Amino acid sequence: MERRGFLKKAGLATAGMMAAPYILPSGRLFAASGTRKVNHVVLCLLAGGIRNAESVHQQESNLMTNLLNDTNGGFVPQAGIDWSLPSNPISGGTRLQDHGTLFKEFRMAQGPTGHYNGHITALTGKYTNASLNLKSNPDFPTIFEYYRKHNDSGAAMSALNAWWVSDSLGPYPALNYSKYPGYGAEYGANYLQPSSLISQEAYNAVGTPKTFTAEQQAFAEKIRGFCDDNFSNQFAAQEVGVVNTADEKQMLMSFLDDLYQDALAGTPELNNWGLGQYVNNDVLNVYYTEKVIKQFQPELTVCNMQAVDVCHTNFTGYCNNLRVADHAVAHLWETIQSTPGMANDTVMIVVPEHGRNLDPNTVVDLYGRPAYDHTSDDSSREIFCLVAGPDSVIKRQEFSDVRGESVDVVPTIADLLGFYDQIPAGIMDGQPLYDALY
Amino acid sequence: MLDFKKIFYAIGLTITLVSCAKEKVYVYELADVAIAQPGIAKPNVKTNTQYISIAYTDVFGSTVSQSELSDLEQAYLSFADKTVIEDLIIRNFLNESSTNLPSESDMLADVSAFVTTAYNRVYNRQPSEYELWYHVNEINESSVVTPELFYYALLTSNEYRQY
Repeated sequence: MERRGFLKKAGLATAGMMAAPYILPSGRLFAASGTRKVNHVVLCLLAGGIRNAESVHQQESNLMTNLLNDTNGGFVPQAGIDWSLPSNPISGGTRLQDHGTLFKEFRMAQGPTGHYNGHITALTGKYTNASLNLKSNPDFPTIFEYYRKHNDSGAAMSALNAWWVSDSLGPYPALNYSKYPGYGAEYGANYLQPSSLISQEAYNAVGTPKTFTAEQQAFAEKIRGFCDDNFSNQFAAQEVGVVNTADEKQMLMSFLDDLYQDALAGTPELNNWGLGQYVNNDVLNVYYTEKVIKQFQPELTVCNMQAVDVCHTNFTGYCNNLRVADHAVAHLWETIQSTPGMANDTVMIVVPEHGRNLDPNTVVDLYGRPAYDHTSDDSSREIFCLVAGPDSVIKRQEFSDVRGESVDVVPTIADLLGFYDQIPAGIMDGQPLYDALY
Repeated sequence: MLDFKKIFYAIGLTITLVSCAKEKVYVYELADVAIAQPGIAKPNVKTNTQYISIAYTDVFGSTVSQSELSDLEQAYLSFADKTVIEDLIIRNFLNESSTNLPSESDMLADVSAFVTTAYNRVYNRQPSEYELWYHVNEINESSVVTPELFYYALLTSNEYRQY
């Protein structure tokens, strides 16, 4: 062997020996190098289909007085939309927009503007033409899976750090993890559907369990452990769903019991919101999201709301539900700011999954207002996005030009939590919303 | 000389008498046989509905009503960690007064029969000799075990989630 060749091969071998200990199972050379900007992100999917006309353009006056600054004279009572809500929950009389960046012309640029497609896009960062399938998980990884798989903080692998709170069943329970190779239930979120689980029917089913003493629990675990050991090679845990550790399960059962006791007591905290007859599934969803936040301080929470979808048949009801959702999201923000561990260390992203059509359908409500569907016209692709958080992390500004798409939400969360660089290139369609970030 | 006519009549009479003999009636019965799944091979995961309805039958000895099944499924679908919900469902079942489980005195009277019955009922198979020995030993040595507790352990085990 020539001397030059020998030296070259020896050098490569030495470099390989030095690098080998640092090559991770994922094939990457180094561990996650991203820097966290905050330790918590709450994504409020203000879903159900909201037109920019009724949100940021304020054509029906400002229906979102807790989130958006007035641009057209503030809220003006109108027929059917004249009831009042309690005062602004955000302390200091500020509005959420004051705490971040508002993208007034955001887009769901591709794919059918249906709820299923909109949710998949917002949760995977990937546009999709998928047809509604009640039993099918998304094709591409969700933000929960990216977070739990790629985040390298000490507690990141715990499912208690990732929550998906949805206000309806149907296909939504399946959106907490994908069928993408290398991801799946192992990295899914803890899913909670409050209006079904915290109900009389569910209470009858799971609310009054037999209790065992600690000694009895230990005996049962010993027997179960023996049985599981005999069966371990056949058990497919990921086919059963998201799995928490034994200790985490005990915490979850205790948490569920607390929720039932709270419901049996008449949800006293919710009564303090002062919404009375206007408590709907969106409000319940936010209320139970706040319960999750207070109990677990999760690093990643996605709260889904959909009551504005009454717009298919009731435009006035849509406007009212938009006002209620606005109030609920502001309440959630305020709860975050008063929760130790999350205050001043949380970014909240508020975004509809898609808009609604420019032209109405044929339904007219009691007040003579026409209804609107969402069938992939340009208007139904127009949405807004509000990113709020600590002033050292999120810029205070507003963009009126078209910038940002719904596929950018997942990369933005990944960037905020410091693992964007760890996600294999090419999977997602979007990129972080750097315009909003310092 | 042979009287062929008499012989002919005698043969005919004999055939007639034989033909008129009462037929034997065979009555078939089935012997009781324990139907159990051979071995421990259970490669398939039960669906939500299968898990709930089978568990109900195993605990109560009757079929779950459609309305109750609907309530149970709603709870099942509303939470991601199915093992948490399954645990709560099973303990809710065991908290009912109408369970159809052996009494504690039955269990203590013949622990081996108790374990074998539980395995047949829950796992749909016979316990192996080692399993039987282990459980009998554990039950005999425990001061806290109850039939509900033993069934709870089996009904929330991994083997019960599959078939």
